[in-house]
Amino acid sequence: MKSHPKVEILSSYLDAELAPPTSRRLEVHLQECTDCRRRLWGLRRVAQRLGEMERMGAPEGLGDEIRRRAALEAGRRGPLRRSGRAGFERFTLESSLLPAFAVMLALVLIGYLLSWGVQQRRPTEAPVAHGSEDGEAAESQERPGPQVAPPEVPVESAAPTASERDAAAGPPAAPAIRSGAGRVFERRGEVWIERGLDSSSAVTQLQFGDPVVQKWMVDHPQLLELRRLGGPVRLRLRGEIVEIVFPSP
Amino acid sequence: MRTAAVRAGAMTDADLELVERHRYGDSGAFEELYRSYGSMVYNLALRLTGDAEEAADLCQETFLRVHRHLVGFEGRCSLRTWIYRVALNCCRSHFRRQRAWRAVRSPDSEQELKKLAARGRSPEQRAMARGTAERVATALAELPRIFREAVVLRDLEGLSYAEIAAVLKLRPGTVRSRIARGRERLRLMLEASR
Repeated sequence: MKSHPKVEILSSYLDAELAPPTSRRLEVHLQECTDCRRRLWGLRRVAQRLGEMERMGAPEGLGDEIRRRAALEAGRRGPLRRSGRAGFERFTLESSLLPAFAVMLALVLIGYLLSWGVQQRRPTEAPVAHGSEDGEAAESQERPGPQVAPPEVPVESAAPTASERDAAAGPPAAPAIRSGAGRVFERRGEVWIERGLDSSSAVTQLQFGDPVVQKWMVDHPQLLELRRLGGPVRLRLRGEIVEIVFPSP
Repeated sequence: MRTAAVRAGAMTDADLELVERHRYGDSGAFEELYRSYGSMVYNLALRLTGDAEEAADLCQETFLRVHRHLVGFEGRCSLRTWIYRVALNCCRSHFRRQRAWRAVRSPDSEQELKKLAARGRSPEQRAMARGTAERVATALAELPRIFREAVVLRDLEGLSYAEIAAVLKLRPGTVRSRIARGRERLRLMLEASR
């Protein structure tokens, strides 16, 4: 071995993972090269120190908690899941249906967007239809009988377009129903309340900076989406009804 | 090396029996599984996260996943290798969640989080954070994740190169390189901290 060996060779030598001829050549080199001997010694010490690190036992009660939760889950899944390979096959079948679901969802979404676009265009078309230069508008006002009401613009639109927002004179009205973190919320006063929650139930109010809330946010980062709602948010978390007060943006 | 490769890919009769018992609803099988591998999973999570509380949570998450998916385990590798892989995936998901959280959290919540982390340190951790052990643990925590995984599996868990390749789903050459580069970085860090 003319040049110094790579660190991969030295490290593999420590683990006896080198082929015998390479190992012999390295040993010859090590007899002559102090730098490589020192490097090898350093690597050996690292491996030894890591190996000497104390092994901890799992905390007491952890096993019981795992068994309890596993039993709970198994109960929720029902006995069919227990049927071994059949359960596994069902899982793969469900997985194969996923693309079909995705395509269906995409089609529904496109349909919704198209119908929404048509609805948005109607109010701008209305004055043209009524006319304005040959007295047709005045005529239509005088005409007796039921009049065709102009299409209603939804006030509680879930997502107004940017152009709508720009066109509006004042700030846009916030929608009363919004979704976030996979849940639907309704605004009652200043508070966003998760749909289906009983508003008369006892509520624990927590600030966003509260350590408990911080821990939830770490465990479920999707909850951070709720900041966008802009106001206190009341929802059910871990069986409890809590109201999280987010800081104003 | 060849024997190790065979061992990494083989499912023993005891493993097979355990899996079959679980499939047919024997709750004792899962208990046996936890007794055999609970400490192994906890230590792996502890060395990868450096936090006792997080390690306990990850250990729980790992075993719940094992419980959920053991029925579909096909025995292409040993049960131990499979459980290591599940545990490692749990740890990786945890790191991803943490990264996402760090990217959005505000400065005031960061302080709260630090307080929370300090409170979460166990007596074992505080004892470990002394002397040489502290320097080794600190250096290990500073190691990039890909090197830390390989070094922990080799030097703390004692897995062979072939077993590590099976757990990490990497080629043996890559495993060899990651272990070597991880150890080299640790050597340099420990020499610098002397």
